[in-house]
Amino acid sequence: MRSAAREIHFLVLTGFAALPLYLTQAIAPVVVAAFHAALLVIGLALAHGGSLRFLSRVSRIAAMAYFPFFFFDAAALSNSLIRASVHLLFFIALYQALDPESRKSRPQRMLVIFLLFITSLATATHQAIVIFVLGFAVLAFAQLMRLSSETSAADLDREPVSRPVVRAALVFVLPTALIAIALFPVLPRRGTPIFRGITRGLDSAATGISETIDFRENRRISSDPTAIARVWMPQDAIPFFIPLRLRATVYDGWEEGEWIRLHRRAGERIVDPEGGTITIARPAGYSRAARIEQHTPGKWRLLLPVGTWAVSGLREINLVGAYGTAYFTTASADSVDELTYEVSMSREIDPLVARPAGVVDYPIDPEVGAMAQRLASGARGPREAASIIERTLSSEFEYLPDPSDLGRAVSVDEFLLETRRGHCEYFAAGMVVLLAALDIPARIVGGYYGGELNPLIGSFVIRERDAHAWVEVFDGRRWVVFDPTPADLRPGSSSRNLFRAYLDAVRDSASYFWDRYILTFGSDDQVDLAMRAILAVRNAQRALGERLRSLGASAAGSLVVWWVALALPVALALTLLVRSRRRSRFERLARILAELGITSTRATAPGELLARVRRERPDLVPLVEPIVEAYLRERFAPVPAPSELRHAADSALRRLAAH
Amino acid sequence: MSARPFAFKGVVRLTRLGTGYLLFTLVIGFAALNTGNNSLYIGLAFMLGGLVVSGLASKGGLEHIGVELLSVDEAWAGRPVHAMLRLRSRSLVWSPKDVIVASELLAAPVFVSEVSRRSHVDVPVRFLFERRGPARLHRVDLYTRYPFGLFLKKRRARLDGDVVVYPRLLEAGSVRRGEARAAADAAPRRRAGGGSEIFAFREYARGDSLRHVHWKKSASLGRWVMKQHEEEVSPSLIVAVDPVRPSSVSEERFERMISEAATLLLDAIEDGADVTLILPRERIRGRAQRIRRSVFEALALLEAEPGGDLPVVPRGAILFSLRTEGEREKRSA
Repeated sequence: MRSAAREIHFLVLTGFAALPLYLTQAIAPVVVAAFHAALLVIGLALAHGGSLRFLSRVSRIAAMAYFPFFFFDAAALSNSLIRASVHLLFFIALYQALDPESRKSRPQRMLVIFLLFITSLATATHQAIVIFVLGFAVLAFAQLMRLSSETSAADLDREPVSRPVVRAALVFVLPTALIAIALFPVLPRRGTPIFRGITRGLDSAATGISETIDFRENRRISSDPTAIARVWMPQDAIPFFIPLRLRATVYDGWEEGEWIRLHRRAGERIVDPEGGTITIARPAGYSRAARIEQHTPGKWRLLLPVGTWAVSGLREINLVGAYGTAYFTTASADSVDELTYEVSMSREIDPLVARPAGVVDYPIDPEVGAMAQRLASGARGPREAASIIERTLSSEFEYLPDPSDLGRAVSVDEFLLETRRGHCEYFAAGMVVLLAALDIPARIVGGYYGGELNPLIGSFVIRERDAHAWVEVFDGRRWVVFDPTPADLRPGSSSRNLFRAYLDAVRDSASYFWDRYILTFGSDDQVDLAMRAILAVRNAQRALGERLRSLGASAAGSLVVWWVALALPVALALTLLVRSRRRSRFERLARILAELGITSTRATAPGELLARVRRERPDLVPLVEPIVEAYLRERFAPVPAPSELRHAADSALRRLAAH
Repeated sequence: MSARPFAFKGVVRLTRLGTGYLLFTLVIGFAALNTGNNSLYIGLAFMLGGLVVSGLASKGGLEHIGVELLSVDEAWAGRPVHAMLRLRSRSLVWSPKDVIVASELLAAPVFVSEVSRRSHVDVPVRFLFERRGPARLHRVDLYTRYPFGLFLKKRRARLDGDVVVYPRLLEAGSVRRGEARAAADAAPRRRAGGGSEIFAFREYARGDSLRHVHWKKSASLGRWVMKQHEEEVSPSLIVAVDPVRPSSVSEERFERMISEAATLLLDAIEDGADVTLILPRERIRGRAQRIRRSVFEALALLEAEPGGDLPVVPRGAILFSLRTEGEREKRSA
């Protein structure tokens, strides 16, 4: 029964190792479920004392057939060598549980379990993987302890001692986790000069900002809660730059029924090899800096807040369409998953080079043109006309949070003239069309709006679901932001109670730390960490120096303190070294006697050595006796050896060495 | 002694399981480095953490174990000797499990299930000494795979214990029992003493206790007749051992002679006889168990001498000597 219990523990560990595979979608969930079902069947059979003979026979036949099946699986069934390999692992794990011979080979079974564990780990990116790792560590440690106990008992042909091991394993997991936490940031990463990776890391979802806007197709708003950017700004800047608008792209052209970006990637390339400040516009009015961490895997587009006039921390950026969209480019062609840079923002900005802006080439319907004329009849310039249209749209048109509520594809003209219902892209496109009808240059800006303040880490979090569209209008000098979407219906405007907000902040903080310091932690972060450590040491040095000076210590005195501080650990290390190498009297005696032809081993007891001296060199006995006696007294006697005896022993040692 | 699969030289050895674990960790390390997948780095950090904790636990666990010799039974060469070892853990943290205690002096390695932190465990062991004389129990080796079985750690623990190992006992029939019996028979049996049986009668002498008056006989003879009791005499054995080993005689023969004397003396002591052991510079005499320890310790510590006088051997004593007859007579003269 005990062996059945041991076997069930193994099965539990095997099943646990494969649990995350349900969530990672690396393997079809049905295969994982089948694997767990098979483990359950074996476990139940063992628990009820059933025989596995039949299943064992089946597994042996299956093992012979699996070799060709593996290639078929890789080539045709799962169409992936990796998936086929994981299927093979499942099969091996089951075979080992069924075959009586393989069942006994516990180290091999542990290897398969660890392989399953690593497969699960390698395909997972969620924070929950930490709980999985801790749980696996507890079960694996418990199993290793059982194995250890069994092997030790087998050495002496004994039955292993049965004892609860899970609690002991729990105790060991804590220090293991602490060491793992300490090791994680210092383990060499891909991209270090010593080890260069040969394959890329895992990518995740795109931002969802589309290349064009085509109203003939159903549009959707992603509800993905993934944070795509975080913005830190000083407290005094918050009232002026909130709600945030991060510009991702502009749609400033109309072509074949869809809103497009006229300039695409051809733009002005600004390079700063030092990664200093790159000025992209001229500030006007109140200006503040902000730090942005952007997580847009595989994308080259910067998410610059509206009003950005300078960017620092990047070596090269590409400005498209007179500060339409800023693209980030790296020196190499590698994609960058995580990007951190600083921006300088101003309430308004002027382009570095004044360029005329064109009106979007949209075919204006006469009714739309008439509507525009009617709305802006009293306006005294582009800004006022834009304000009137913005106000009209936001107050008289109905906002639909879900684009699918439209039920069918609706053109912008239909939106303006008939349905008067739509989501933010309709509002923005409608306004641009109305302004185009008035020959006022305007463009749709696709980006992110609002974001949530996470007070725990002090950043605004921008998520995929904050995607929004608004309008920029050229007033003859600069581009001015207008947003015709009703303010209370824009992204992030739903109210939450305090508890919910706090929970969200906690969850977001965990997610932030996980993304920033675990999933995307790389060699750059290691360099940064090292730099911070060096800076901290330097600061501590400086602070100590200042403290010493304030206490009136002279430069020489400070130097002495420094030398003492440096010498202390060195002296301590040397003392420990010397103490570890200091030989006992008996060891020195053994060495001298070895030179005199009386050899001994480490296992030779003092009495044995003395007896050998008595037999082989009786003349040395008067010298050896006090040394042995002093050694034994010092080593074993409850009271220290008298000083006379120690001196006599040392003297005898010297005389013996002179022989 | 049986083969010891756990024994090895040095202080640490990677087990088969540990080798697999280490290789697997290296593979994960390469995979993590190669892909830059931080989830793999988490696994790698945990596996390395496990390795470090395993090393610390096994080292820390053994390092703080002290071994004391609590008690040792009468130790005879060539016979397992029961003893009690105390393993005391001074560690505040570790409670090593499955500790194997081994030593060349132990008859068999001993398995200790657990030595809990800051406590002790008493372990019955059996020593096996091959030779008589003083034996120093100076060390035992402690082995453990604690906690995960990745490493087999060894620590040599000092043991401060001195044991006097009595001579090897011989099989019945190989000693001079007949001679001993004859010597015992030849010894005077009856003499006055403090026993319960009447030995003889005598005239009253001044100072005699009235308790010893034989009233019946005194009444019939008309004078004071005192009764004398017979002494309760046990069988006795006198053994003399001559420690001189002529150069032509092997050490083994000398040892065998000591063993014969010891076997004979033990037989006598077990039978409750009075024994006398005569050595050149020592004479031990007494009744049975009271002198048991002195007799066998003296024999255990008796060292061979190249020459010297023959001990004075009384009549009826059994002499153990390796000298030739002629030399014995010459020395006696």
